[in-house]
Amino acid sequence: MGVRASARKVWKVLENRPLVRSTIAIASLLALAGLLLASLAEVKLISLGFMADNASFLLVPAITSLTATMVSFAVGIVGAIPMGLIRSFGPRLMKGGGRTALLTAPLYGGVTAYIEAIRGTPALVQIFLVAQVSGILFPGNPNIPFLGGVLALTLNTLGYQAEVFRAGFQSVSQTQIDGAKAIGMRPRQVFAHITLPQGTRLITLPLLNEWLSLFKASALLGIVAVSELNWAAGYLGNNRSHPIEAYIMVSAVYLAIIIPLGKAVGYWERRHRTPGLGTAEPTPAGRGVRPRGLTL
Amino acid sequence: MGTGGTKDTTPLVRSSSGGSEKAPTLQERITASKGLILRIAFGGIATVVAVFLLYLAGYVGLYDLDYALSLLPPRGRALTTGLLATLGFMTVVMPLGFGLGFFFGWARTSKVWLGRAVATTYVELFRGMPPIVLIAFAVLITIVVFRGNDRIDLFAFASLAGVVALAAHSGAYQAEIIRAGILSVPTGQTEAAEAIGMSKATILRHVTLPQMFRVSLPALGNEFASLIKDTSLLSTIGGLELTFQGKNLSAVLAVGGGNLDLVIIIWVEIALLYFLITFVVSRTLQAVERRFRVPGLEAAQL
Amino acid sequence: MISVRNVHKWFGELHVLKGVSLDVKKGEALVIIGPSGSGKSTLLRCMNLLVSPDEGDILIDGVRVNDPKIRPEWVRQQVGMVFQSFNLFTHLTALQNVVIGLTKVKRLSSTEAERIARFELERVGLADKADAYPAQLSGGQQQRVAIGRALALNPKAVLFDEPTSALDPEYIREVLDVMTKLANEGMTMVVVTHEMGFAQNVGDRVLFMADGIVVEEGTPEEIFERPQQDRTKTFVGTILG
Repeated sequence: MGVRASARKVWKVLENRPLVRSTIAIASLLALAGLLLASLAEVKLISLGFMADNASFLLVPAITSLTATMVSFAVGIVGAIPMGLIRSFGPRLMKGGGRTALLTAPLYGGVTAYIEAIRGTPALVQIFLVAQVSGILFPGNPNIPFLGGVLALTLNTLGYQAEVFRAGFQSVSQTQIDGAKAIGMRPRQVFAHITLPQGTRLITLPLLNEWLSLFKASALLGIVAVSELNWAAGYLGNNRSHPIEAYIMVSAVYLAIIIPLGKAVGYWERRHRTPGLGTAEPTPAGRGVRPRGLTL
Repeated sequence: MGTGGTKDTTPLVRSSSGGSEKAPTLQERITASKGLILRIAFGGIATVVAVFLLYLAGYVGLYDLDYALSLLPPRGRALTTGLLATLGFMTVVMPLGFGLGFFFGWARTSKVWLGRAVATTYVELFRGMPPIVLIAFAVLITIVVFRGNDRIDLFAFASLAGVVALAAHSGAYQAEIIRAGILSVPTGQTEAAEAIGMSKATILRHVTLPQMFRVSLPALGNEFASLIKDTSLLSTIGGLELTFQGKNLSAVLAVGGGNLDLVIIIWVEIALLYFLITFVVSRTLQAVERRFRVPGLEAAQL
Repeated sequence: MISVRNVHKWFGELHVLKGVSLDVKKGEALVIIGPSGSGKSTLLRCMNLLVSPDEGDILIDGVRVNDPKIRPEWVRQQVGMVFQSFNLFTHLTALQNVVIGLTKVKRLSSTEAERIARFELERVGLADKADAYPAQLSGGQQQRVAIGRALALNPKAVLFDEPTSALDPEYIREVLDVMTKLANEGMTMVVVTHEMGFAQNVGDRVLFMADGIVVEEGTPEEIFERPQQDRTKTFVGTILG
């Protein structure tokens, strides 16, 4: 009885403090993981000494992974914005007829085909294609695996980001645009003052989710000889014969980057949500649904 | 009960039930209207399963698979094998991932503290790692654990572990979809069901699940498309599917000789086959979604 | 027919019902009024065990039903309920909403269930909306379907939890009409409402609740024209202007 009552009291205190609650949860999980590692080391299944000695080896691969992700993501944005614009405003321009329509139609068709092709095929296939083609074109160049890998990731994220931008631009409702027109804004002003700011709010979360997906996809580059984190796990495992330890370490690095970042994204989104803009619930159909399916 | 209409009228209505009514019952009409799309969906699933079984039968030696495939031209043969294997992996990974996702998604909404904690940990861990690392890790652990055990086929066991790891990765995403679906059913709905005396199981079967699935279907379709593409990762652990065949073909036929055209052709062919699969699956799911659409229960879209 | 004996209910620290007792007689329309937060809805929910009382008893025809041995599903078949926000099943048509209780709870054949459901829809004046989904109906129509859904199970009594509060003014009339007809047919009803006209004209008895207790009860005339308690006077005064 006494225990139950005090447990209830503790729960009451925690109930309205999500931050404290998650800190406790994370701390106990970390403690649990530490306990697991310690007991695995105790029965000589893993060697903590090996992990301590080789932790620094992961620094360069981690930087490689992050660099590949950052560069392709940034280049992707630059290309994806115009593609998203063509995708969302193309149909209207084509309806107008005349020279505009003639110019827009092939652009719209090309962009659509590109997006469908990227989203309909595995990233690994795209990476193999780019890696092998660049390997044949520039034989023996030591920078080629990394550059080819970044190129493949860029081409890949371009397809997904373009759809994020299209959805963002399209979800600015017509009533908003009508309202802007009614107070005498010109099309350019409507875009600059209404469509762009509202669209930006709507795309931030899917775009950040895309960054997380891209970071996970960067692990594929290890297969085509880019020395990133996933490659490092295999390398440590094969050459220093402690594969389990290597994978535990690399998994820990991935988790340490992806989980806090994902949480931060969700937290930021809830804080900066504009009431009435976008959907009522934070991210429809479940937070953190991967933005890499076919239908966005 | 009251002496008025309420009690008297109901028997009155029921007594007329003996009369011959030709109009189809509600149940019959539902089955009739949903029959077509269900038949198409089940037909598609049946085809995939049949293809998989055919492949499996050849694989275990019920007929000469190699001979059957040798009738095809060399590249066609590799691509056919790859396509069959990819479809085969799909038939295993998709239900497995969905099962895991459903279970943990349901556990995420559980009233029991421990159930929520376990499910949340599962979701964060399996969603927070690149699937390719998960697969390699799972294979590695299986090899370490079962190494030296002569009574099992280590390669088969390790491959299975890789497949389960991939399913678990997708399951983590699906768990979040299922959870959101369950939470999207307003409490008023379950309350109303309770108010007419439905049991917990009936409420789940006839109120919560049908509403949840309509809301979750687009996101689930999305996830299935991602999962199909992710089966390409199984090429890294020796799964003889499309990507593996592409790597093999280009290594044997093209890369060594620096044959650029052939490399491109091979990978475009592989890409087209993937595109075909994802296209068919996502269109089928969209058709299912359209068929079961109900006004007022549209899925929340971005 | 329904007896509530000294029922208490806490929600956490909040003492919502502080010993409520009342009797609902067969065939009568009992109207419960009172300011919001007075525990009216909770009391109603206790009567069909959607909320289980922490103390005290609920008796239906003399049987104590808040007993672990009695299945709450059985109780809810005896006592129907109509909600403020209708709570029609969104994924089912109007007809299916009425049918589902008959097939899944009463285990009738689908032919028979559909026949009863069509009759109930006709009774609430919505025979032509049988195939519409809730989202395609107005609030008033939805609430009438919900009444049909409750009546289809042939309950001994029906509880109405502010059935018109969520409605646009133009739809209130049609719902009240259905309820009046039902009362005239002799249905036992417990109605929580802010519609004082309905309470005066249709209610056999009126019960005023505040702060989790029954402050005063009597005929509509007694409560509205000669209230004894100060709190009742204030409330009635505000409501009737």
